[in-house]
Amino acid sequence: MKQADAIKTYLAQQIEEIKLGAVTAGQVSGDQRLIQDLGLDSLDYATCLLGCEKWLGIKVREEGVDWSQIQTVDQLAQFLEAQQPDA
Amino acid sequence: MILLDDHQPIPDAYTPGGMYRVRVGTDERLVDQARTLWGFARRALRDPLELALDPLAEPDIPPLADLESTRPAQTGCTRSTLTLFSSGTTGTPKPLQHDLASVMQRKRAGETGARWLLTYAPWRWAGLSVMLHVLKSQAILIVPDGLGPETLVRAAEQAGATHVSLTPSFLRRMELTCGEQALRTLPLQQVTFGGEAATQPVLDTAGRLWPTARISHVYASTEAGDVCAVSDGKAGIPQSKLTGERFGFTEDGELTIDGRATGDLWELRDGRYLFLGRRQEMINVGGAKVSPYEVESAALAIAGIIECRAYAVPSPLLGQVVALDYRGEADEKTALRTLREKLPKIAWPAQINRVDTIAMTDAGKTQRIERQNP
Repeated sequence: MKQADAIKTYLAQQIEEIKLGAVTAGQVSGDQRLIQDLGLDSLDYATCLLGCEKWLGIKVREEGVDWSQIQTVDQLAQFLEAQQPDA
Repeated sequence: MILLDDHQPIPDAYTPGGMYRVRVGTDERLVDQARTLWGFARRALRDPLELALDPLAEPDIPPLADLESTRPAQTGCTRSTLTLFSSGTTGTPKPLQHDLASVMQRKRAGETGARWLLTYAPWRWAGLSVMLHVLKSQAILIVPDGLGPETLVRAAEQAGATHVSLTPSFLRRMELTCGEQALRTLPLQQVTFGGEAATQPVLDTAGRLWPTARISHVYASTEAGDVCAVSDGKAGIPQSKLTGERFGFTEDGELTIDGRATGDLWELRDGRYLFLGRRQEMINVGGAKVSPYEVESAALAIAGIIECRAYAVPSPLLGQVVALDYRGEADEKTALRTLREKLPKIAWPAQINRVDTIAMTDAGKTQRIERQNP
């Protein structure tokens, strides 16, 4: 099982790739909002999520998820941490 | 490998007026299946016979008994029919009956001395269609021992195949497995693509491999049978060939033939209809439709990608997003960057996987619907 910090690091790399280097991993901090601050759109967000699913070997369970509550890098990392089977 | 021609004996073991169920075997039984079907097809051209291909062969198709209510009448058979099962656009398999005489009437007789290589499973429409064309032309059918690319190329070499019908995906697979040199030596006079969109690079590749051959592509479906053929060396179908009483298009570009939906989506561009994909294959990214062919064409133009498939994966945020599997030396990051430069954003693969094999159906088509787990 991967901890939220490790997931956050991976997310930062994902965001750098998705933004084609317009944002570097080093510039990404936990309290930044994915859409408003980092400039991701819904497709970027979905791509990011899918990349994490592949990396973590999980399938995100959608039931009861309130996506409006998952806005920052930290929130997404914590959400993904909790999605792992051993969590 | 066997050669089938008009001198083969016609089998007697069938039930006149009844459904003859041809059980599908594995590659090892291909020759027997082809021989059986060949015999019954010849018989059906002479005597009334209802020939139905056994849906039990397909693991995802319900047993025949469940389809009883839609099964064609079995009494008073005066004309031969072929019954195939298609999942069509609804995903529910249904029997589709073709009148054999009408099917044969629509076929143009080819060259008598032609030696056709059977590259499709004979229990599929594509395989049967080749078989019936060969029967009409009084030509020779080369039945390989299996449907793998090496087996097919070997059979074509040994039996001197002059005519071949194949999917674009299968040409790519043959190129990869056997190499261009082996393909160039085949004495082909006619190459016919079907089953999938024959894109311009595919037609150009065939033209380069067999410069003296006639290269054509056909549009056919289990539901409608043979529809049209194009031999001008260009991708797409001239508008005139899909115009007339039989044809119609829905608002989103689905072709209907004789009022029946085909499940195939087309786009009219510069006087030609370009195939976008099967309705079930289209990738619905947040309500926008992405054609897997568009993504695959862009991927195949990247150095180091030799075979690929684009398909939908579920996304909690957008419903579906595009995924791409590919074979080749290209690394995933470079491939992804290149695709992002070439494609509109909606078509960017959200997931890209370098894989060892690309799934293919026994009709020789790239498998675009089955989801691969992350």
